[in-house]
Amino acid sequence: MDQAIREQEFTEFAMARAEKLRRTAFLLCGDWHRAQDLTQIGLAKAYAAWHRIHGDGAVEAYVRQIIVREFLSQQRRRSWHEQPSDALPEQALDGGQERAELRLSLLAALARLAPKRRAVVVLRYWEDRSVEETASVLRMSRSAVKSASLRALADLRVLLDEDLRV
Amino acid sequence: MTSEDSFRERLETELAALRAPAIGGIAGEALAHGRRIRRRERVVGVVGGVAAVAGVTAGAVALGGGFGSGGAGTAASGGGLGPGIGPGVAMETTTRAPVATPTPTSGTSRTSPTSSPTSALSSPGSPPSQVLSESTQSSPNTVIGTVPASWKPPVPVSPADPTAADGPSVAELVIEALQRFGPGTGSSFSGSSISGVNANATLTWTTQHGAIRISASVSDGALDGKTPQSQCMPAFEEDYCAAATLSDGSVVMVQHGIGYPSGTSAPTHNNMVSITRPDHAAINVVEWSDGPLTDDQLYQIVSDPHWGLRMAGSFVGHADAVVRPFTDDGAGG
Repeated sequence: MDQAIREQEFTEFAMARAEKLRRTAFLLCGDWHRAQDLTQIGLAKAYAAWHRIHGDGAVEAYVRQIIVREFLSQQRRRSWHEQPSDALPEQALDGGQERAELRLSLLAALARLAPKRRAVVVLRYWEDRSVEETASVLRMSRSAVKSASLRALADLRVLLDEDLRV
Repeated sequence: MTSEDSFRERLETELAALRAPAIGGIAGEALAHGRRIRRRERVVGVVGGVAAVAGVTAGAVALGGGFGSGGAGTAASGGGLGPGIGPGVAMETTTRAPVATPTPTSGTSRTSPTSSPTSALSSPGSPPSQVLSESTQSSPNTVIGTVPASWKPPVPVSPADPTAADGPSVAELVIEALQRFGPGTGSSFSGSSISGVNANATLTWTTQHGAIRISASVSDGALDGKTPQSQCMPAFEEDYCAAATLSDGSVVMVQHGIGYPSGTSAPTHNNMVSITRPDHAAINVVEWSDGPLTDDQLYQIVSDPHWGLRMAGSFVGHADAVVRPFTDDGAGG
C-alpha cells in the first residue's frame, strides 16, 4: 500500500476514534494522561499493522485489544504501589459538590475493582462486547468472563450500596 | 432502555462531568510512533539472526562472573549463579534477553542489556535505580524468549502456625534468597500488606560490588481473574518477554522493561520474574536495574517454597523483629 494512502487512512481513523478509545482507556486506568499514553500506543501499533487490519473493519477492535492488554501488562508492574482509593479520579465541572459526588460514584467504584475484573466490566458493559469477544481480548475462557462479570457486578453493588441493574 | 444501556449512560454522564485534558495531536503522535515501529520491525527482521547468536554468547560469558561472588562479568552475562550452583548449570540455565540491536533511525538511547554490572550497581548510598528519560520510554522492540526447561515448579510448604504474610516477612524471604547467591545486607525497607490479599516489600541489597533495589510481592492471583496471563503480550514498555506454563500448571512470566518503583513516578528499567501457582499465590520479584541478578536467580527467589499469603508464624515474627526500620508506604493491595 502506498505510504501516503496508509497515513491518510490512519489519520482519519485516529481523529475519528481517538476520543472514544481514550475514554475506554480512562475507565481502565482512571488517569487521563495514562489513558492518553495507552491510546497512543494502541494507535501506533495499529498503524504499524495497518496493511493487515485496515480492510476488514477490525481496526478499532485491534486498538481496543492493545489498550486493554497494555493496561493489564502495566498493572503487573505497578501492583505493589497501587492501592484502591476512595479519592475521586478527577475534579468535576462546576455544578455543586453534592451533584458531583453523585455523578462520580460509579467511576470511583469501578476504580476499586481488580484490574482484570474492571477490564471485563469495561469491555462488556461500556464497549458492549460479547462474552466471546471479551474472552478473546483478555485471553480468558468464556466461563471465566461470565464469572468475572458476575463477581465484578456484585462488587460494584456492594461498593455502591445499591441494586445495580445490569 | 436495557440495563446495559443504563449502565453505559450512567458512565457517560459521569465521564461528561470530568474535566478531561485536551486530546491534542494524538493522531500525529501515534503516526510518528507507528512509523518508528515499522522501521524497527524491518531492522529487527534483518538482525534477528545476529541477536540470537549474541544471546548464546551471553550465556557462555555467564561462566565468567558472579554477582556477590567476586566475579566481574558483564551484565549481558548476568553474572554467575553464585555459591552452590555450578558453572555447568549456569551454562544451561542462564537467561538474559537477546541483544536487541538499536536501530540507527530510532534516535533513542535505551539502555541495552549489554550494559556492564558497574553501571547497574551503584555505590552504596546513592540511588541504585536506572532512571530513564522520557525519550527512552517507548520501545516496541520486544524480544520474545523462552523460559528454560530447567525451571521446575515449586512445591509450596505448609507453614507451621500459619500467619498472614506482611511486608517485613516478604523482605526477609527475599534476603534469605539473596544470601544464597552471596553475602550482602538489606536496608531501606518499605512496603505494606493487606491480610490475605497482598504483601509486598522493597529493599536495597548491598554487596561488596554495590547496591541494587529490589521489590517483591505475594498476592492472591484469584482476585485478578481465574486464568493468569500465560502468554507474552509485547508492549512498548517491554524489551524482553518470556512466558510458560510449568508442568504443575504454574504460570511463569519474565519481563524486562520499564516500570515505576514504589514512591516514584520516574520510569525505571527493570527485570521482573513472576509466577502464579495453582494455589493462586502470585509472586513477583523485580530488580530495579538491568542486572546483575540473572533471570535464573530471580526465578529462584519467586519459586522459593515458603512463599504464601500465610507463612510460618515464627518466621513472620522474626522478620517483624529484624527487618527494621520498615516504612509502611500504605500501598497494600
